[in-house]
Amino acid sequence: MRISTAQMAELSLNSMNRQQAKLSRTQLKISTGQALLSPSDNPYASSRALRLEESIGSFEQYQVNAGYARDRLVTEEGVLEGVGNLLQRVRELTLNATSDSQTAESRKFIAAEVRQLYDQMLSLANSTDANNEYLFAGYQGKTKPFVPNAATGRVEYKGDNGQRFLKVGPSTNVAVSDSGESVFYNIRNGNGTFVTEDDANNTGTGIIDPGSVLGNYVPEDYTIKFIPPTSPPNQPDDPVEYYVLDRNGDIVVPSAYAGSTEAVFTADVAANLTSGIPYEENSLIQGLDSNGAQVSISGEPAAGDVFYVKRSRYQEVFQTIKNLYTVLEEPINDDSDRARFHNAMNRVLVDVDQALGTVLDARARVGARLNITDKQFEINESFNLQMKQTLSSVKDLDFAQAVTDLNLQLAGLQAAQNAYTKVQGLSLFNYL
Amino acid sequence: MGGSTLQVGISGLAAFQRSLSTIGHNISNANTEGYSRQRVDLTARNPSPSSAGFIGNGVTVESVRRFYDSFAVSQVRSRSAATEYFTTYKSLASQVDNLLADPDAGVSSALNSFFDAVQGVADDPSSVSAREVMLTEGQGLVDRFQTLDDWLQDLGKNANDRIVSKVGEINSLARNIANMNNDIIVASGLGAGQPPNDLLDKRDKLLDDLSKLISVKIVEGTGNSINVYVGNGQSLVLDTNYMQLEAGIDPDDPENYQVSYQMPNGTSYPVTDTLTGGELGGVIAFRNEILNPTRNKLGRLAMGIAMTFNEQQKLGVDLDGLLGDNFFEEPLPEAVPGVNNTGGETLTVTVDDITAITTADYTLSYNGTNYVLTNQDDGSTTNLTIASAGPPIVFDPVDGLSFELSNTPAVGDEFFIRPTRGAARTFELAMDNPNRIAAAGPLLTRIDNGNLGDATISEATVVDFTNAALTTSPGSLTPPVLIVFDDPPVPTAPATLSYSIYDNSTPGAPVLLEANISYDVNDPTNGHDIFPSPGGLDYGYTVRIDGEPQPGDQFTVEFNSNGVSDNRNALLLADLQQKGTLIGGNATYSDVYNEAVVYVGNRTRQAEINQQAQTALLDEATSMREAVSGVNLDEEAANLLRYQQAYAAAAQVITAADQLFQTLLSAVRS
Repeated sequence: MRISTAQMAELSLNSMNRQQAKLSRTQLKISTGQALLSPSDNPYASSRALRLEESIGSFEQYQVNAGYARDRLVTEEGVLEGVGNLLQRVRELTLNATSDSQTAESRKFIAAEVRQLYDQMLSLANSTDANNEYLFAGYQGKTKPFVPNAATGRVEYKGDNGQRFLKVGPSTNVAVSDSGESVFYNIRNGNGTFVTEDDANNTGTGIIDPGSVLGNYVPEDYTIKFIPPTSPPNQPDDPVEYYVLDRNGDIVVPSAYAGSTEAVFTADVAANLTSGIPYEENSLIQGLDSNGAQVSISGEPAAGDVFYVKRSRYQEVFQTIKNLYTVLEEPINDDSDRARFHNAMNRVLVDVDQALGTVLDARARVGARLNITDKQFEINESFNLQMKQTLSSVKDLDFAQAVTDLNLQLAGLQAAQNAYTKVQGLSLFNYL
Repeated sequence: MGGSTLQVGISGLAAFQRSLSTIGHNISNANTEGYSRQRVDLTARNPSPSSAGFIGNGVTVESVRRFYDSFAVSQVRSRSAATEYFTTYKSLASQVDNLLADPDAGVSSALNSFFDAVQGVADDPSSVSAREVMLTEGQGLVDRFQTLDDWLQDLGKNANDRIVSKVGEINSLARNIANMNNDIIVASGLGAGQPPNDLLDKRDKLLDDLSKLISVKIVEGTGNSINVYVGNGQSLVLDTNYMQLEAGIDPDDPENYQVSYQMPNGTSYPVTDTLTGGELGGVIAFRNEILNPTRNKLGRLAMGIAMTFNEQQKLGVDLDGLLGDNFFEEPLPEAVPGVNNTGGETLTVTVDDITAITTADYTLSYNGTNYVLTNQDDGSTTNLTIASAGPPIVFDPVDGLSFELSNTPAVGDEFFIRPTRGAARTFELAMDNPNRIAAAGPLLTRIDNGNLGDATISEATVVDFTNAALTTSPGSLTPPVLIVFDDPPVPTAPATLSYSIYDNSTPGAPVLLEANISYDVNDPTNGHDIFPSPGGLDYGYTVRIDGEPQPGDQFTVEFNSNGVSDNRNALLLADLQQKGTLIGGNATYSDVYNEAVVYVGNRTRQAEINQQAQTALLDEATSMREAVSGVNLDEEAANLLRYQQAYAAAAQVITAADQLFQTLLSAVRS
């Protein structure tokens, strides 16, 4: 084939140009350390790299969030620990004060300490975090959540039941707060299902225990009324008798009168047609028992005494503590006062236990969240590392390869230059 | 007979001199572009008859011919049209390609930073500085879109300028070719049928140059002239006449210049999209395949971010306790009436469903019976369905767009719709007050402190922020709601409980709204979802009660007025980063962006590969042409020697003839 002289020069030139272009690209890759200089180098890999970079960015933000979450949870945990310790102290004092060996004087000292604990509890409940936001105000971080109302004597909750979550993983939102309502405010009183109470005007020495739930408790409010013994023969030692009413005032036991009104039953009792259920110390109160509530009364209730078994209500922890010092400050003059004192202290004790349980639950939840946060942090970390490695394999240059390429291309270019000068030097005219 | 020898010698001398001068011509033009080597064709003169047979009369120059392979030449032209096309396309496309993935210029990193800032607000919703950061990063995101779009617009302007300049070059080449046709016709006449080689070479060179600008079709004309056609067969050169192209503003799309073909009668029509190949074709293809689609894709993303982010922002409450406002300005689709419309109607296009928006441009035309929507990307057409005859005429949405015409247009009127073209440019931050970022949820639900049952109430989720309950009095709920379980219950079996809904505007004095709605503890579908209620109460949010309430239990729903620590909506805003909100509800923001990066990357890569392939083919075709037409100096040197020797020999013949004559003379003399 004929080759034109100009074409030969052109071809060598083009080839050198191409070699130089390749060389400069390799050089650029080596100097930037990147395998992908532009998406067109490998569109799929570039899109992958963009995605990985986005994920890595997200994971780094998750780690920041997890740090935040950790700080908040640790703060809350600290406060809850304080609350738990405080309640533990309240419980100890309650048990101590219940002892009959306490004098009016020593009870007063205890009451004074309990009042202090009350104030401490209030300030713990109104704790703030590093940003000066109230920890237990729900969403209303700038509103002081627990405010005593002088008129009602109760502490009011001004916050809400909001709970803040933070995103610590692609699909993991972890709660970083608890509302004051759930920790301090909405605590079931009594044994959590029902609460037992004595009437303020009781004259006997009957003490009702907090009771326990067996089987399926049917929500109901009961009134237990004591009447003089009726069943013949009437002996002075005969025990008092009782009957039980439901919240509508209808008879629960004696079961023969179940559903009838109290008036019908009392009329029949007056007419000696029937009798109540003989009181037996420490045995289960009938009627409640069959509805899942196991309650017994000890001591000697007098005829006319009344006890109540009611569905549990929410009672704030402050009220529980307040109940304690109020009881402790009441004077004890006679046996019925003492019975009243014990009944009240029993109630305080179960209420404190409920509050403690609530706080411990809250602490357990916070602990679990901390756990989740830490776990997620580790997961994020290893994920991130993995993705960075993948990204590096997608995006970063294989230097060994690149340097080899560079050397080859250099050799190629040198060869082309050499060949060019040699070939260009050849001309028949040189010999003419 | 001695005279005859002399004549023969002289004929050789003359012929070899011609040959030598042609070799000189070849050597001189060894580096002239477009030059085809020439050769003198020698032929023996007609012999003289004699009784002994025919006696030769020497040599004569028949013709000076150029070495020319028309197939190779046309190959070179079509290859160089393709090479120039891909080279131009690739060099323009790689500018976009590099930019989109650039960490400092691409949208990707700005999007990440913005959502990091959103999470910062979720981490600490009451912090004004976190909110400031979110605004700043939002501005950064918007700026990134605008910078990219500005730059793409600049590329568009450069493309326009380049189209104008290339069309100018094409026109001047066309004029020169027509003139050259004329010269060749004249020269052919003068040369008595001999080819005017150098003029033909010059014209071929002009045609080569033209082929680098645009694909042309070349057809032999009369008397050595040629005709040149472009596009769909528009003649550019016809013998000695030439036509002109004109580049200028497309009145229906002012940002994209068009090329029109000027008819001899003075009228013109656009031929932009029929022009292929060459540098001009490359610029036009870049504009159609890279530039405008990229702007549309960016625009769609900007529009998508604005609309979906705003939607979530409107479902939240800001630091001032008001429902959220737009965070971004929402770009509007562009719709312009055609300049040739005879009616004066206007078309309004709005986004109906952001997930269905495409990146295509559309034309809406009225043919007297139907309103035809043409997708410019794939050419598909849809007859719009009239939803309301109006005026204004409202059509059922197509591809996520709603159309509204002010009135019936004139038959043949057209409207040009570019839904996403300008969106990246008009993408703006709508907010400058950090307090207005709606990080909180709008509603609060509460369980009454006196409840005996263990039922819980879910969070209230706003589904319609335009509901009167939320809009009547900004920053409060109209009415706040109290839900009370009836004591005693008035249920419909099998439910055992019932509740009533009250207006709780004055706490302590609720006003009954709807009474005795049955609630079945065991059937989660019976009465648990409060709104819309059986009686039709609907306040634009949903809320649910679960568990076992006791008669008398109460629940409230109220406005979240002081929820400064509430980050519910900020979390939902942050979730948008990973959520498939666009393109059929499957693509995240970065998916959409990545798609654009891959789109441009693939096409750039394709162009690069094609460019390399075409360059190789061009080299091959050029070698083929050069093998025929190129000057090889070694060959010329050899020929030079050969003809020099032949010339010397011919001169020797003359010397011999002279000696013959002298011999004869001396014989006579002696």
